[in-house]
Amino acid sequence: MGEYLLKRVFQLIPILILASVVIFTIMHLIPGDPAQVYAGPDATPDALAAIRKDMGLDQPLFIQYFVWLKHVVVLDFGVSYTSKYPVIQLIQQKAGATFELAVAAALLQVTIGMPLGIIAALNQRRWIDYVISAYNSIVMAVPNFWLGILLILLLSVQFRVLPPAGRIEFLSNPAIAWKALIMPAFSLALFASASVTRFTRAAMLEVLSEHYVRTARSKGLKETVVIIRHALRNALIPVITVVGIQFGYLLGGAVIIESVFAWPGMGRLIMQGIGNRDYTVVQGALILFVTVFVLLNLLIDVCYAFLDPRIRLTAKKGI
Amino acid sequence: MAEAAIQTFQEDSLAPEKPAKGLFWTSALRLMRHPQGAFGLSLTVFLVIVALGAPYFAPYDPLVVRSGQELKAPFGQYVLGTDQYGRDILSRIIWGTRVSLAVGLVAVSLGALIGAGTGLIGGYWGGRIEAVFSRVWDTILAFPAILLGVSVTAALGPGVLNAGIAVAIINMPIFFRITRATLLVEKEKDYVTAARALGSTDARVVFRGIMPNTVSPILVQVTVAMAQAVLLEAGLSFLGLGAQPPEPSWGSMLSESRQYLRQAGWFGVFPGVALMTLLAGLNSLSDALRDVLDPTQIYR
Repeated sequence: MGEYLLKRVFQLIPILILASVVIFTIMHLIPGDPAQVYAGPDATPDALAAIRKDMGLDQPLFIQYFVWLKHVVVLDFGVSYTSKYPVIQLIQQKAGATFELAVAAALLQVTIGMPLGIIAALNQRRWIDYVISAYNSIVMAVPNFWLGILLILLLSVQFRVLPPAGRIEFLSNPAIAWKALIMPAFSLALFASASVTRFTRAAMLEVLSEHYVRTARSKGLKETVVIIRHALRNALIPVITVVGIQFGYLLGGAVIIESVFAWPGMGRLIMQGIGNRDYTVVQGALILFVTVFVLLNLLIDVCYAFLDPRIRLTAKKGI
Repeated sequence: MAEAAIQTFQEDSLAPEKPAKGLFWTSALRLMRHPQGAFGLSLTVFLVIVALGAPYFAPYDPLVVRSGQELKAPFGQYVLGTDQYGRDILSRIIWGTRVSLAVGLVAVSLGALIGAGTGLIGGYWGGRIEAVFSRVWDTILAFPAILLGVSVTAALGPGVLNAGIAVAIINMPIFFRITRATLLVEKEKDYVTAARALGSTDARVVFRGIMPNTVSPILVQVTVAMAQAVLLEAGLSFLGLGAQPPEPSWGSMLSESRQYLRQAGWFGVFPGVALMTLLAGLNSLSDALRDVLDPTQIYR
């Protein structure tokens, strides 16, 4: 297991380095002069030159890259050009909101997706299976930002039961905070729940045809016990993987949803950074996003290998 | 005699077995008989016709601002109402179909060309070329799609073409992986060994022999990628990085509608319905194509 883990971690290094090159290059392709942004519109040419020297912008690009990378490795993302705060501080303020939104969406996606998948599998090729499949197709055609707008229209404008925007920190006051959280989380979760339904259905069908399920039934166990203890527990492994992978997409998808609901998270930080040409903020936020995304995938693979010895043994043999 | 036999075998060895009507027509017919396929195909074809005939179908000019006609309710003079500048929403939706499909087309063809191209080259020759391509595409996959789209359009400048390029970049790794995976299976088959033994060049083996066999999975991915491209373009336009005003695009219309939800709720509904219709069409089409092009089912 240790060897497998080490191998996987080493595979990540070139990807993260390449990703940092991509992010750095993209940010330097964005038109506009960072020194001008930092100094403001009234800066004199001398002041601009001094700032450029100070920020290292007069150095060749590859030297700028290595200087940046050296700092990034120790989580020093520089200072925001517009607010003059350290980027890491801005990220710390916003990351919690995005994480909260993604966790709530992940919980919702499982709550919606899994029972539907189980019901569909237990009623394979009956009308309820077809209804769930049709519902799934519709859900997969509804973009999350449009769903957000529809929910605001219905629940905020029409019935006035939920606030259309904003956030209250969940842990500080859960009784009120959930009202602001539920619509963005649901908008984000619904699309993703369709995949959970599909995977749960497929995994359940596979497990239900296994010998041990037949044995459990022939022992005279109750159907609910067979389904929950014998079938569902084994079907959970692939489903957990999907939920894990989806979590990365939920974090990414939060970028749009945060814009719909004025949710003060990382997505808004990045969008505002792009709008203000605040490159240090965007660079920092992007590299963090990618690192989390990649580590998350590693975590899922490792969990999977832990649960299924065949994977780590195959990897060990180098097949 | 022997030479003639070798000659015939050489030609035959690379020609896939053809059904009587040809693969294209057999598949098209099966697609139309598939309920989901017929549904998806009709929705998609309908929207393609709408896009192509936009100047004829749109009742008004989508860009003309009419003062005094702002945020008019639907089902009156304007079938789907008007927006904040008095522009006809139906006409803007009709013209918006062009933007969505155009971005999808640019994104998917560019993505498939470069992605599948590198997949064929990397998969066949292997070694360092493959390693380099794999690393590069793995890196692209390390970005959440929408974030990569946002970054690339920010760097290239907002606009429809750049949104298309951004979405194409997001699509490339998937086409690469699919093509490479199919190629690795095909490469080991007897017809390739036979063709090589008979002295076929690498290019001939790849393009005449192997490529036709990678078409099915790529075609399925094209429809999947098209739906993803339409969704991403709408998302980027929603964030202000895709189509720029006054150009009509479903995503930017939805974005504009947010400020008027209290006065004009319909404004936030209709462009979304159009988007949903196209996505439903493309999703059904990809599901059906997957069934129809499954090689185990083709000649039944």
